[in-house]
Amino acid sequence: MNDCDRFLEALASDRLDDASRTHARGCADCGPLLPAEAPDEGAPAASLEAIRSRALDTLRTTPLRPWTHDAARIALLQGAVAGVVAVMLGDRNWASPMADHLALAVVGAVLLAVVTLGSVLALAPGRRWTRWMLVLIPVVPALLVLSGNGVHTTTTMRTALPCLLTVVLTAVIPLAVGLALLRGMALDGPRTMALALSAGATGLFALHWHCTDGSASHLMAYHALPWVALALLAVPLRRALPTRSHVP
Amino acid sequence: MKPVPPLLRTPSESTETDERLMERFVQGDEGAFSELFTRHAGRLRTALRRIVGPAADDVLQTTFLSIVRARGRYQLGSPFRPWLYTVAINAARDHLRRHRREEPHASDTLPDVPAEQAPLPDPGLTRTVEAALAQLPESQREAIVLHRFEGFSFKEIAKLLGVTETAVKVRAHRGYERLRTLLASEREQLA
Repeated sequence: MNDCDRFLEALASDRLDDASRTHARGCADCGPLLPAEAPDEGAPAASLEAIRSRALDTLRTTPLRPWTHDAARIALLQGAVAGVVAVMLGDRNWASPMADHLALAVVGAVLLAVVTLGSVLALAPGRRWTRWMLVLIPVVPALLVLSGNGVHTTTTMRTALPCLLTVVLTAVIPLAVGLALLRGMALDGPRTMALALSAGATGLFALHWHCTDGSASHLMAYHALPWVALALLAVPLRRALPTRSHVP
Repeated sequence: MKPVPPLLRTPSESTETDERLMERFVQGDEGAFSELFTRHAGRLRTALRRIVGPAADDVLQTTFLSIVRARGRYQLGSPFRPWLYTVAINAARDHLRRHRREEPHASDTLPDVPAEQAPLPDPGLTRTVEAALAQLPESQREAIVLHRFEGFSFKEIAKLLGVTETAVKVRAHRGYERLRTLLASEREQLA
């Protein structure tokens, strides 16, 4: 390893010592790479002044909008949509003699948390919570299957299809509102997926009390799969929308 | 007498931290915003010029409009400068994504420098370095601009870009290696 390589190694591992710096100062290849204090660029003040003025104008006309307000609104909207659709569909599964009420109640509570708290976490500043939300992709289907009664009642695709449509159609309004909110923050695939998982869980919640087919194949193919597909579809949809703010 | 625009004044005499100013700005204090702008805009534009080339002013404007519109997403007390650079990098990526097909930045030619722009005062930074930098892939260019020119540590860059520290080190190492090769070949051509 020659001095140039040693300098490169030191530079790229944030361990520049005096020997490496001395080498770089005298080396035509390494010299330009030596970190230096980057002073502010001088003029033009005029173009910066124009940017500052435009930003100040925007500041005067844009009221403070804490992210928690948006998060609370979408959590309430999603909770309401999930509740209304659940009431409309009815509690046939809960009322079924095959139902394990404890398992249904526990998984129902988890789904409600995904619908409400999930949207809050998905919109929270920073990246930590949105990444954790992706753990739901294997967890929720597993919980659905575990709380299912194992009985296969929808023998044809035609009888099973309403479940798939319920998941998709119930998510339309929450997802549209969520995508509009996401325009106000930086493009972020995991965040988009996290919010779409939360929006898609509205339909899962409603079906959870209604659908009497507790077989693993039905729950995976007609409940969980469309839910995951919606989350995946949301990413290109968000990419196609213009971004209003690039704040994380 | 005509008032002196804030940006033509000498650098601020305010001793308030960026984070304290940000707290006031979040509440709508225009003076606090102006102070933050005066402190960071010039240097940020230099960094953006190295990433997006001549579109730096557009991306700088998008960056500051972004923080004005979404100031409610700033977490009070968190370090301001890395947050500002995160917003700027996001805006730069969005710009490059939208304009990639129309006007690719990475090319064999030097990036255009606006006529009004003064030469960079950094003696180690030549136009050759800028041209070589423009030929690097976007991810390597970001890592080098933030590390070499903006003085962020790899740990800070990792947090800023939302990737692991190892990933940043790999990008920077590859970028520096490629930059050195490009500069050496440029020097040979001139010799």
